[in-house]
Amino acid sequence: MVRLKSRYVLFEIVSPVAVCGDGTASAVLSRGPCSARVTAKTILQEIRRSLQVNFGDYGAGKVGSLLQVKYFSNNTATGILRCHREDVDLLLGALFFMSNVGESPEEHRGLIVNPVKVSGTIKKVEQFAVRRGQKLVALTRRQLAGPDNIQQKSFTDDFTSIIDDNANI
Amino acid sequence: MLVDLNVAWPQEGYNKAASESDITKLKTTLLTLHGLGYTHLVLNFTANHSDKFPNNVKELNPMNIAERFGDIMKSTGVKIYSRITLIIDDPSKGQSLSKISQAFDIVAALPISERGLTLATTNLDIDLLTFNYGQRLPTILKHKSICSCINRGVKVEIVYASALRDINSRRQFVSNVRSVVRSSRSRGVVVSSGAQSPLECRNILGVGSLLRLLGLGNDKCSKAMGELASLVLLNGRLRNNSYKHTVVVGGGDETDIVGDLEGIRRQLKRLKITKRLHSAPN
Amino acid sequence: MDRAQEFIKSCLFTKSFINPDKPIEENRLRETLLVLPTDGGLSSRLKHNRSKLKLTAENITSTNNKIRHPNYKSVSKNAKIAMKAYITGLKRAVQRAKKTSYENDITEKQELELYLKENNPELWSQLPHYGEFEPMHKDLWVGYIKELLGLPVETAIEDTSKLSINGSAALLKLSMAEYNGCLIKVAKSRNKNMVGIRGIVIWDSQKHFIIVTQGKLTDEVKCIPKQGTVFNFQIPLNDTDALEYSILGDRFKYRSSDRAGRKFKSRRCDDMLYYITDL
Repeated sequence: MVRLKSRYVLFEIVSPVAVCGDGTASAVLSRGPCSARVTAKTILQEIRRSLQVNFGDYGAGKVGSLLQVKYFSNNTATGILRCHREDVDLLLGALFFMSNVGESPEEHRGLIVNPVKVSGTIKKVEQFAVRRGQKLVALTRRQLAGPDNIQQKSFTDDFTSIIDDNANI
Repeated sequence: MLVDLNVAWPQEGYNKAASESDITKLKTTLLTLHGLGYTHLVLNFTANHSDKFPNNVKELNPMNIAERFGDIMKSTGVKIYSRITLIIDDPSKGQSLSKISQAFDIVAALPISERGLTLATTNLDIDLLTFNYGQRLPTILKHKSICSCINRGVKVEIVYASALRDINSRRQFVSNVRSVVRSSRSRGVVVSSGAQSPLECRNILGVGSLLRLLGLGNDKCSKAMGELASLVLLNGRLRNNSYKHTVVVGGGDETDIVGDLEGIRRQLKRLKITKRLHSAPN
Repeated sequence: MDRAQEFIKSCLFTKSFINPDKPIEENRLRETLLVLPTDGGLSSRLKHNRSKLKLTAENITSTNNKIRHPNYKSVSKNAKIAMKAYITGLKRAVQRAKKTSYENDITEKQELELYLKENNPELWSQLPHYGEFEPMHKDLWVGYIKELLGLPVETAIEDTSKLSINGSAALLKLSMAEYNGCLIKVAKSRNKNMVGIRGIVIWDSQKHFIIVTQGKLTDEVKCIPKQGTVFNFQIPLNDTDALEYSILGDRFKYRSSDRAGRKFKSRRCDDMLYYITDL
């Protein structure tokens, strides 16, 4: 019997924070809680809209057949999407072109939907998300404890290593 | 190592200097890119090839990277380089590149006419060939010219910022990328952001899947931001810091010509003085 | 007459002859300013032959250059064989010395030295000795390279920040310099095991640097291929500071004699990915 092959995408919604005038690099990207309007439902709507605009009826229909938001948390602004294995590129392409989730054009300040990890089983994605979250928390704590230069450095180094892991999938 | 070869420098030509607010915005962009995992960033200064360039070599580069972005490099560990993109229209009006290339790490060419393209692919000593992806390409790209250019070691750049602007330029972007990938036989293609604002930055997963959608080979997608892009950096840095790729200035144990941050500031002097190792360790 | 000749040459002969001196050289210009007809090139031919017969220093060297060594091929072959025999001899000796040290439980270099001098002086004489080659670096090469770059040879430079030599001209000279006797270090390599090897070059062949290194037990001879390796060397200025350069072995695959007159070209560097550290 042939199983239905799917892919799970871990993504996060980040928005760039303006740098202070004196050029000190505080938090690089705000990974904090996003606005209450961003919910699983609005995200799904937005992805479908983006698919429709960029890939037309064909793309929207193809990806939409198995598109689900498995998990989304407003507090950490991360979530997990599910799609068919063949369509993962289309889905990531749709995320690439998204610039707005659930906000009206007036209060639109722009955000980046950042895919972090693609995996074949939801278990691995969850484990990855937990590990990544722990790392981020630890780093933020350390940063809050003493914002001197050496610790800032270690903050970014660890941080790039998180993303480097994903690059090597 | 992830390289972004094109972060727009907010200044066109030599007449108007970049304002403070632009630079703060640029800093935000750089930090965003760093947050998305990039380790080597290149600031891109665009100028017309037929423009008048300052005579003094020190004035050629308006960026002052060490002074303006030294704190960012120190606190985040990203490495920032400079690049000049020459818009080539009429080859007869252009000037020699040898002096310009001394002041920048990477030299790129952006042809906007057919004759400019032939000049850029055959004669010019450049590291990168780029196009304006928001508009129609100047001419139909031929396998022969682009491939010969790539065989020389020049890479072709795809800039994805125009895909994120409006619907027309997105359409144009797709068709242009298809034609670049076709004519280069997906060899030697690098991809960069060309970001003018922090919102135009995407991470490697997104860009990789976009390129895959547009028909670039599967293995070439992550190489386009990693290995190939770092080769461009290597090529550009070697031009200034070595004699025809034979003998290089500096380059001790842990550093190489790309990672040597001090070398970026040294640039014009071409000497490196270090601690002497004595010949008898035991 | 002389002035008239000059005038005729510059005003008339330049217009009618390719070489305006020709009628004067062939003695065809009479004192009456009448030009005689040619003798069919006979006089110039004679002159040419006469100059060939003349025995001058210039003549001898130029003809000698044309004649190659009668058995150049076998000479070069023999040189290669001798070189190879020398290197393998040294390597064998090192191996034997190591074996001796293992059999006798010797772990110190000096202990081994004493032991060999006492019990096996023949083997000791066959071993490569770093100390013997050290003057080649210290006395010969450093002086040579300093002279080449225009640095003061005898005196040390006190303030290195005030050093003023032309960086690009120095690079050009270094690309043609001689490296026998240079103390090099393998900075980067595709073969990770070679990184960090440091020694004095005793022979700069086309594709290898043959170097003498200081080992833990004995000094050793190593052949480091140039392909896929970056070498690092220093030119000492005073006791603490030195100028640092590196050689890209991939682009350096010529013998020093071939390199001297060579015009290098930058090529695509796709094969040098190993040079970038943090990939």
